[in-house]
Amino acid sequence: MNGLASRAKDFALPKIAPAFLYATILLCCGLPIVWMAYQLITHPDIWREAVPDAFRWKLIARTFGFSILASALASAISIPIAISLGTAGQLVGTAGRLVRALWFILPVPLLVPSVVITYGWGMALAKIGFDPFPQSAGDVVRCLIAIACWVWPIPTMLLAYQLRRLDPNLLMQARLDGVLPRIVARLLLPTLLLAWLITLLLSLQEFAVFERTGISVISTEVRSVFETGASLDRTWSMEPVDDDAPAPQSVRMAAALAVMLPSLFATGLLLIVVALLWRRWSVSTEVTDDIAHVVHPRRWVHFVGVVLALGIVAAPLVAMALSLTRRFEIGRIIHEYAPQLAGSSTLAGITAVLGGACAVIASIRGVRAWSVALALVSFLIGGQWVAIALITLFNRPWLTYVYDSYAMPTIAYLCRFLWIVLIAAWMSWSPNLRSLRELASTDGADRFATWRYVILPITWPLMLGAAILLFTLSLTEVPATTLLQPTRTLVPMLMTWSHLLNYPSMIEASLMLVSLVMIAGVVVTVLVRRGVGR
Amino acid sequence: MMSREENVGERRSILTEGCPGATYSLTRAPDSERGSGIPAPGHPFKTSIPLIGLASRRRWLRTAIHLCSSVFICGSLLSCDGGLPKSEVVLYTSVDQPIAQKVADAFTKKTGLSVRLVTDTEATKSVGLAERLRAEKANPIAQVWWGNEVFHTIELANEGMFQPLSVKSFAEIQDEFKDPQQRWAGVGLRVRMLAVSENAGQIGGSIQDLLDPRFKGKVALARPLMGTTAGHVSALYALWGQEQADSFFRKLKENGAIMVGGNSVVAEQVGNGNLLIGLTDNDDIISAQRAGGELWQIVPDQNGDAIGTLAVPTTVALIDRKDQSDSAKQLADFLLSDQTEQLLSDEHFVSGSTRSGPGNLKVMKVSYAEIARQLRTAPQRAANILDGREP
Repeated sequence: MNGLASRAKDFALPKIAPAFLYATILLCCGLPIVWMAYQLITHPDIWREAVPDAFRWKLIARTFGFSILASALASAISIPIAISLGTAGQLVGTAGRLVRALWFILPVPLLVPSVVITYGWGMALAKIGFDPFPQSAGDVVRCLIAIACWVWPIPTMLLAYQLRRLDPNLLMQARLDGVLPRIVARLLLPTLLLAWLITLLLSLQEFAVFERTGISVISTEVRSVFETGASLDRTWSMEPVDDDAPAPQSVRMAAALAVMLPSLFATGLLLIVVALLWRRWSVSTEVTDDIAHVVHPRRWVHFVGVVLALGIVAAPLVAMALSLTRRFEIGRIIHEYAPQLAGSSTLAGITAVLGGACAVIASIRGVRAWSVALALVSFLIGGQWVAIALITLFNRPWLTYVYDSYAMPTIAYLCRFLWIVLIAAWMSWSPNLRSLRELASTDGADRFATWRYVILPITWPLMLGAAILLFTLSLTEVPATTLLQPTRTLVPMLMTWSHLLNYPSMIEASLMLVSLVMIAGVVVTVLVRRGVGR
Repeated sequence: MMSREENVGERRSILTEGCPGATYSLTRAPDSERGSGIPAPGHPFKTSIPLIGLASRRRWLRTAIHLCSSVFICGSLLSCDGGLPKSEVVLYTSVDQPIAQKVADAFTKKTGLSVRLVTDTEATKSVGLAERLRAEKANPIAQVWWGNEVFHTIELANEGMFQPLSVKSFAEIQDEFKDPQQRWAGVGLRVRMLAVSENAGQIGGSIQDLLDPRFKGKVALARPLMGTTAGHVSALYALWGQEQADSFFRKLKENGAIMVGGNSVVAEQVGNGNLLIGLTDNDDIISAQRAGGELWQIVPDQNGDAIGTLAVPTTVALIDRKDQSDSAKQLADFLLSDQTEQLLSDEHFVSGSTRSGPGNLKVMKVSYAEIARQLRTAPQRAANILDGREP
């Protein structure tokens, strides 16, 4: 018997594997969405909350206004850095190494919780005397800076990537005609729009930036309605209320959901636009890096890009480090936060293993578009709602073993971030790789053997990178972790300290978390670059 | 014309171009290794092309699978701990985490029992955890509740969340600061204060100072839906009645008062000079002063027939659950003890005792139960007025 065939047979994928994949998607991503729909259907009396009053219109306008400005600021920041990164192909020596090293810094801000970025930037700006009046224009600018300095890597990566795959012949012609900047700008415009929309989607969900200073946005209002019944008719009618009983929790949940509906609808529309743009964008030509032969930005352009990127990442960290009133002793810090570190790492590890398993199964058996869409929608719902849904669904005497365990946060993290590994798996079904699969099939290989011997060697960096990304995002997830608090974890601790400026424990824990994230970021970048390169 | 194998090889070379990890090789294996070349029925993989480093990859895959399985199984086992270990008590507390952690550590040192702290964020003080308790009512995870105020505790007690607090320290607390039905008791008194900037000039020492036109646009309080500010607002509604309280908050709105994300932010912003005056808690003012803030604390309304200030005890209760443990009772007893009160006082978290009462401090003459009743709607009304949401 052919030895290869027998070895391949040893690893036959269990038939239950696809069931595991779809059960995970339905349990983690589908169930909270179904629960939300159920709440709305069974409480028709609160649908009126979905129709915004004047105050809510202002709130919606403010949320979108701030998010649009923050994402525009992030896009503006990204342009010089992206130009430097995208045209660094021919750059040699220290300058070249320095510019290319930026690829490894890019994921760091995105992976750090926004509460840490906000805290760090608050301190950095205060150090230069910018400590604006709460809720003033200056304070809004501070919030927008914090958001932009959190999401800027997204437009940077997309623009730099797009630059590297521009048609060099077209660029050469444009250069000869003396219209190179205009042509490059025109060619980059769709990517810039796509990047801006993606950052807008992320900015719309943000609340940690605004919470401390008291600026109301949709996320803070939703939380307020859920926790206090803030906007029910009886409280804004200003009628005598002495004998009113507090609204039942289920009603408040439904009311809070209704409050969120208009913005959720707008977010859904945005998501469709993003998906369509992404589809067009992602089928463009492959990276050639030939732009570097045609476009040679002056050294100062690279200098600006590097200084800007390093400055944005380093400023909050340096401000925190300078504000530390006791010695930064790594041994003591790790010892002090060991329980939280262990708790967060275990949770993130379990999530990454399960997510990785889903990615493997999806890569072997394929993944349906609806399941990826479901995972994306569950991400956009936001962590608060996922946590509220899980508490309501799973807190039952016969489910105590599930509820009071690591299962709850694991489900919440998968609900939020499973889309990442699913997309990585989906990429293993790209036209090129699909042809390879067909070829292997022609040779008689079954699905598992094809994946194991053909697809995995090509895609493992991408899959592993996605799993590590899932690990890191789970490690730093804020809203769901804060509400669920299953065991000692890092993030809720940070949330309880974030209002204490110059608090040494907050600074130390934040710096430790950033260090962890930096290591993970470097590993992810190496793996993803290797994976995409294949 | 190319044979089938040649044709496949050609396609392979095209498809694997630029894919350095692809395991296909154009090198043809000897016939002995390739078998007959005719696919055997039922064989899952029948290629005649050798794969590079198959054995080592196989080992790698097996190791990876074992590693992943081990992590998952260990994680699952850890998560399925069969409920709480006997030596751990779950404490839900809205007391500031650094303070609560010190008290928990002192308890652990004394008894050897560990405490799992579940805390609240500054912006959702008390309310967030109270909501979680409500959500978990059918199957509570918490064993002990330690609120940073009394009003939500009374609400929770009225909703049947607590069981009788049969602990030794209960008897030491003054009647005023414990529940007649023994469902909760207070430890340490927090006092509502005016945080006043050193640049504010002379003030009268009353919450009416918040309406002083000199401070227009420089006045703040925490969003009154949460924490002690919610209690203070409710106390004003209970004391003054709806009309007068509404009028006060309308005037406050006219004076440009803003609502920020927590009492600590009020103190910090007064301390750095952005604001001139604000309503906050004693411990937050002390923290701001320690951080270098230039502000004073003034206990409001202490003169003549002024209304007094609000003194709020932190409150301890035992969650009503069938399997309530002795460890939980031990923790509740410890939280109500002299030792805890002293620790809270040393940390400047409280400025009065529930054993000796408020002393010379003039406090608002309104019962906590009445304030708790107002809590259902008064904070909302005040927030709506300050938000400009009145119809």
